[in-house]
Formats: sequence, structure tokens, C-alpha cells
Amino acid sequence: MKRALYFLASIIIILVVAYLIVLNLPKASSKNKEAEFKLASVELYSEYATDESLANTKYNGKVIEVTGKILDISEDQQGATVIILDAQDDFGGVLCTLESKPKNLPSPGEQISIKGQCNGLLMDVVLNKCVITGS
Amino acid sequence: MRLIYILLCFVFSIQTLEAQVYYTRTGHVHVKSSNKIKNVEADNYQIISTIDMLTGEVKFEGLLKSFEFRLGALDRVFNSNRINVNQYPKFRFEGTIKGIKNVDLTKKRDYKVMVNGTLYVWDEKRITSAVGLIRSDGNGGFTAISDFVMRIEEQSMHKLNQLIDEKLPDIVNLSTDSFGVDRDIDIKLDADYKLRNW
Repeated sequence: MKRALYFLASIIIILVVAYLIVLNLPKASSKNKEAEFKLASVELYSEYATDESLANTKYNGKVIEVTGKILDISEDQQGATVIILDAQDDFGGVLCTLESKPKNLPSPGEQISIKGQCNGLLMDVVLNKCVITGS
Repeated sequence: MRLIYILLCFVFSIQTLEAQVYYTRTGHVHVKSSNKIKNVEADNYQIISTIDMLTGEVKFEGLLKSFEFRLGALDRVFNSNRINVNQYPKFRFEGTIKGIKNVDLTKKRDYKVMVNGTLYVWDEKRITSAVGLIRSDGNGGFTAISDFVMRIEEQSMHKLNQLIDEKLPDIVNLSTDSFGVDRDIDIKLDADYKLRNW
């Protein structure tokens, strides 16, 4: 009887610990993921502008690394840094929302490489959970 | 001479009309769905939106993959390759704001407005209306805030149950009914708009 109680108590503790672990798991991140594609921002935007459906299949949901010239730097509604890379198009670029604030913020006009999860095309090609990999 | 004058007036009027469109690339949409176990909440900070201050036409569009779930485990599953949303990667809202003509962006104050329109998610569309708030900063920019409720219809709940049944092993006999999922999804939009200059 005592053994059965110990067993039951162990099961409950394991379930509670597992529940707490699941609740406190950190969100998905691109930091430790290898980029599946490395390309220029101009090239990425051009692929989406030419055939959005094909580009969706190729890049959406995947971690990619893009290199390009910074057009604009701003902050979004949660205070995260948003960098727009030049795509040599009058309206769109590559929008990258950084996962965390960089120690040294780059300036518009600088050439930079950013790794992040590609989510698709709106006005810009949108990358989320980004980290700066080189400048 | 008269023709040149008419042309100049025409060009000027087009520029005036175009100058009334405000936009954002980094709007925020928060969604919340209640259930018996734990509420599911997610945020998307990559919303593109335009508001035409002359006609009251409002549009916003976002990518499903840009949603970040507050629960880390759910966020990891959603951002994994197991969840494929390529068939319908976007959602959008198209509508009009009633009372936009009362909004004076040169004055710093709040304006209550009514928003009516259609929300398109996956292959579903919902005609919806909501009360909105336009908070003018007095310098030509403004923040727009609005709360919508999207009701999941019976057939959509059936589709959702089917999807869960397909993804989970047979031994795990769960359905949206057992989670007690509320059929109303709260959608909140807030965004800072600036004048579009192209």
C-alpha cells in the first residue's frame, strides 16, 4: 500500500515538474540555428517579387542569412530594433526584427549580415527573431 | 495657358489626395483564445497597415508565421517545420473607418471611431465591426487602437478538431471540446502611423 502511494506521489511530482518545464520553455530562437540559405537582400527580394509562391515554398519558416545595405533603423511596438535592408526597389526591402538589442547599433548606409527566420512577403520580405552576424 | 493651369491644378489635387495615406510596417496584433487549461495568447509585431484619412479606408495585413506565442513550448512548435502555413501564409483586414473626417491631426487628442470591414484568415472571411481609437500626437502622426472579436463557426471548429485528430496519435484522445476552447477569438490592433511619402 505504502509502495503504491510512493509510486503515485512520484508520478504526480514528475507530471508537475514536466508541466513547469513546458510552461517555462524559452521561445523559439534563430541564435543557435544554422542558416539554410545565405544570399544578398536584393536577391531575396527579387525572388519573392518574381514568384511569391515559389519563394514561400523555398524560404518560409526557414532560418536564412541576408546581406545588404541598411536603409532604415527603427523600433517596433515592443521596443525591438527593426532594420530594413535595401532591395533596390522603390517600395520594399527586407525587414528584420532583432531578437535582442545589439551592443553597438549599426547605422543606415552600413553593409550588414543578418540571420533570421524568413516569414514571407508583405511590402517587404519579413524576417523575425534576427541576430546580426557580421558588419 | 488655361490648359497648363488645369494640368497644374490636377497634379496638385492628386498630390493632396495621395498625401492623406498614412502607413506602418510595424503594427502590433495581439490574439487571445480562452480555454479551460491555459489561455493561448500570441503577438505579431510585423503588421503592415494603411489608413486613408480622406476616405476612411483601412487595411492591415500580416504573416501567420510572424506570430510569437507567449507560451514558449507552443512558440517552438509553431515555428518548427511541422507547422506549414504556405497555402495561406497571410491574414488581412479591409474596411472603413466611420467618423474619420472629424479627426484633426494637428490637435493632440483622442478620437473615438467605428471600424467596419472584413477579416480574411485562411480560406475564411468574417464581416466584423469594432470601436476604435485614434490618438493624434498633434504633429501629424497618430496611434490607432482597435479590438475585434472573431467567432469561429461550427464548421471551422469541426476542421480544427480534424486537424488535431490528424496531428495527434490515436491513443491521445483529445479534441478542442475537451480543452473547452472558446469560440470567440479576441484580436487587438495597435499601431503608430506616419504619412506615406511616395
